Amino acid sequence: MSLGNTVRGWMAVSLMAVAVIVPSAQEKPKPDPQKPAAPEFKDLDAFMKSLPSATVKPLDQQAALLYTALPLACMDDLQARPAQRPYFWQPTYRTVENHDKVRAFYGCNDWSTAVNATWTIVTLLKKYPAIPVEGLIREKLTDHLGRTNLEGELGYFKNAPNFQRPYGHAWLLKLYAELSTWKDPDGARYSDNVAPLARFIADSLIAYLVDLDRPVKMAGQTNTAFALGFLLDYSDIARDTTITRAVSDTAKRLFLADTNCATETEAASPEMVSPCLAEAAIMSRVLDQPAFVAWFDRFMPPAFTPKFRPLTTVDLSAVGTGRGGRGRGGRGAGAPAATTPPPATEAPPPTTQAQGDRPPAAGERGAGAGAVPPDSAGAAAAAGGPGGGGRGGPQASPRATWTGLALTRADAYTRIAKALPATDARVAVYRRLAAIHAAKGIDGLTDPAAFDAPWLGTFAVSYLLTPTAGN
Amino acid sequence: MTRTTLIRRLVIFAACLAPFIAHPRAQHAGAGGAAKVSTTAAKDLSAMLTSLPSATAPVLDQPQALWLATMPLACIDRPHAAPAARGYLWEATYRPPDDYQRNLAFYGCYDWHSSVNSMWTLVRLIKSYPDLPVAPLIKQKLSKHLDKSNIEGELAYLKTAGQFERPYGYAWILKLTAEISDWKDPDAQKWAANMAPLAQWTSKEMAAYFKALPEPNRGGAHMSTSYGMYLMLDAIEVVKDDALRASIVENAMRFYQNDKDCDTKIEPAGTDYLSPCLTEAALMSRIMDRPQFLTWVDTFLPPMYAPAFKPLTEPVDTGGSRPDRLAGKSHLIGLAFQRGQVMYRLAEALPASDPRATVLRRLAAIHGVKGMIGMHDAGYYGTHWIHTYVVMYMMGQSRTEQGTR
Repeated sequence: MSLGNTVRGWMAVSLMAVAVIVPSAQEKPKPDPQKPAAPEFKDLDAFMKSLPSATVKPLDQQAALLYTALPLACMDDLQARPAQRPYFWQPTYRTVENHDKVRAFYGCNDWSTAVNATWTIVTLLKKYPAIPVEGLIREKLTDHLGRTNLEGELGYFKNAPNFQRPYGHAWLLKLYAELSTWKDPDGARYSDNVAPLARFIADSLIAYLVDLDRPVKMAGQTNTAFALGFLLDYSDIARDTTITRAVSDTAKRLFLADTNCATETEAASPEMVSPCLAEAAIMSRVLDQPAFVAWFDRFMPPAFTPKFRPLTTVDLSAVGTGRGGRGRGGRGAGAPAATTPPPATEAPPPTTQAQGDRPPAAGERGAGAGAVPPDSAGAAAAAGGPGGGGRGGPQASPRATWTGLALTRADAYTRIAKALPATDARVAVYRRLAAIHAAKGIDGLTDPAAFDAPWLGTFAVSYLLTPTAGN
Repeated sequence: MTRTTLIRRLVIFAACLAPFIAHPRAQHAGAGGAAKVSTTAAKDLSAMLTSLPSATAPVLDQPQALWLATMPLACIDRPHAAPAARGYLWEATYRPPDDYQRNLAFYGCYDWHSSVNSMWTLVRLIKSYPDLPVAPLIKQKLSKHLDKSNIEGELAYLKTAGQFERPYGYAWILKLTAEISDWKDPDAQKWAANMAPLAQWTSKEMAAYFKALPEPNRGGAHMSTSYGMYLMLDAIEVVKDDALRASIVENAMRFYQNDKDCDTKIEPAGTDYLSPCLTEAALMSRIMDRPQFLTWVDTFLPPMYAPAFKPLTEPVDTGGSRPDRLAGKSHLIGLAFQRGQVMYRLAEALPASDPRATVLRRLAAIHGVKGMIGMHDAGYYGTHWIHTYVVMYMMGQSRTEQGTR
């Protein structure tokens, strides 16, 4: 992108953001010459008529082949050595001895992405047993999911129970759910190897959830509602009623009283999760239909209102700054931005984040060393992969982050639509919004930016396998 | 929740608050949660004020100053915590930098910004209470940390350190320097001269930083843009800095002047130590003229008696006791003082006759009382920094006191 385009893109975005945030401010923002003023809709019908139709390319073996390529290519690409020069404690690094024997998820930029890359190839092989990369997938799985690898993982987690909690934990359990329901001799062996780690993580997560006083409402992977959704994916498949109950109790305790979600503040800058939709999606799964509808009516502004507008589409090319974002939607959380503000004057760009679960240097987590608890804020700053600001790995580009948002929104819209009564007028609207976002997200996967973000393919697969996803 | 935790929480609440102030959990307590909140809300401001418990704000005096000074004294030479966790793939061994006692200044008090604001606490207290029995000890510590070579080492590091400690730690450098520069004391004048190059560089960097920021950070912790600006204004009020002030004013207007309906109902997040809505309002009260501010704040903050504002009227329950959550808990303890501090500031910005000012001062007192009760509950996670927030709170309280007398 040329500098001129960047600047124009910037101006468009800031004007758009202002228009969205303060639709009725006394001082009307200047209209954006490149975009017609957003029309007002008098009701849901009028809004529905305004929405373009969208076609989502369904998952088939050919598409699946593409979705296996990124995980296969990243699983053995070692997570980067931390690069920053700390203020006080000066590190000397070496890799864990025999890392390929005592660790399982050491590639793909960060741990959670390595886990969900593994999930992706397992899931696709189960669905398409004749996929041409079958042999290659089994080879990778055998290398990474050996007994000693998982024993090493468990040993590590016993000393670092907060590492990658809760998002990475949810993905590990999702992986275990797929392995444990795979009728395949190799699969049974992998499943046995992963089982002790899965049990340890499930137990520690339950303690974590019971004690969680306040949800994280950030717009990235630390978002509590978002992680709870993945946990339910696991417990639905593995029939782990203890986790189902813990998720359900936690969601109700944390979210039931919420009303009038601040949709107008979302997506002011690139972010991967819609806090409002993620919360509605998890509530759609833990409440029965009448209770959900009553809650949803109080919680979500009508789709045709200006307040809801930021949730109606994603512009993949919105910001070209490479900074990622937490935006206004992220403000509910204690976690400092995975994003770092722009460098002032000639200052160097944000350094890569610390690796592993070593606390990042103070500045990297928003000057928050020490006073930031390791299990939420620290994890956020240290969060690799989704949400930007990876440690070790490349910073997610804005385009990749928007693509992620399109896919996670598509999933949430689909789940909400499914939970509403069939006669509810919102069902068709939400399905359409799901299709619009899914089509955008799947388009975004072919962008070069996506190759640095292997988790995007995982999100696409995860969405496409959501019941009733697609057109 | 365990029974002991529950009992402890109840005791804490009974001790300082009238029973009508709902336990935060009560808001989540069931399907009727939302309805319950609204039925307990007051009809209007005077009904709200009547319903608030009376509270006597903790005030700064010499015994309190001595107690507060012990905390920074105890941490200023205790080096930052070494990274405790093993790496997942990359393991590290750590050593301190060579000769750090001569080449660095802010290596104590758990982390960099806490070390800077701890020195601010010491300077602030010794200026107010020159006869403090520990005054010579304080000077000895400051002398050791703020020597020329130490500050030169800091500047050299910061120039290589990218986003490290921006904006929060940088704001504290400016506040500390301002406090020292304004101190008529021969030693202080020497330290001020040592700090000057660091402060000038910091100021220039921050002016550019706000200008380049596409969106403010609206969180409740270190990265908060409004709080960084707010703290820097404290420094600028003492030591004039037109360029930085212009950047703050211009960019605060760009970020915030069109804001409305601040989402008070979602405060606080689990590790917030500042109130995003109150801090933004307090900041704007310092950069807009009064009529402009009064118009703006009416659309920005919900009415104080409204259900949406209720989370800001109640000191946060900090009863959780898991050892791995102490850092977050320390944030919520400090939050009481930060809210109190900005409430005093907001009260000052309102006309004396405005009933909201009375409500804000009462709320600030309630928060201060609660904060003092929980002050030590997070151990070193709290004591390495909260003293500064107590001092800022008490200074706000005392300014209010003088203003209303």
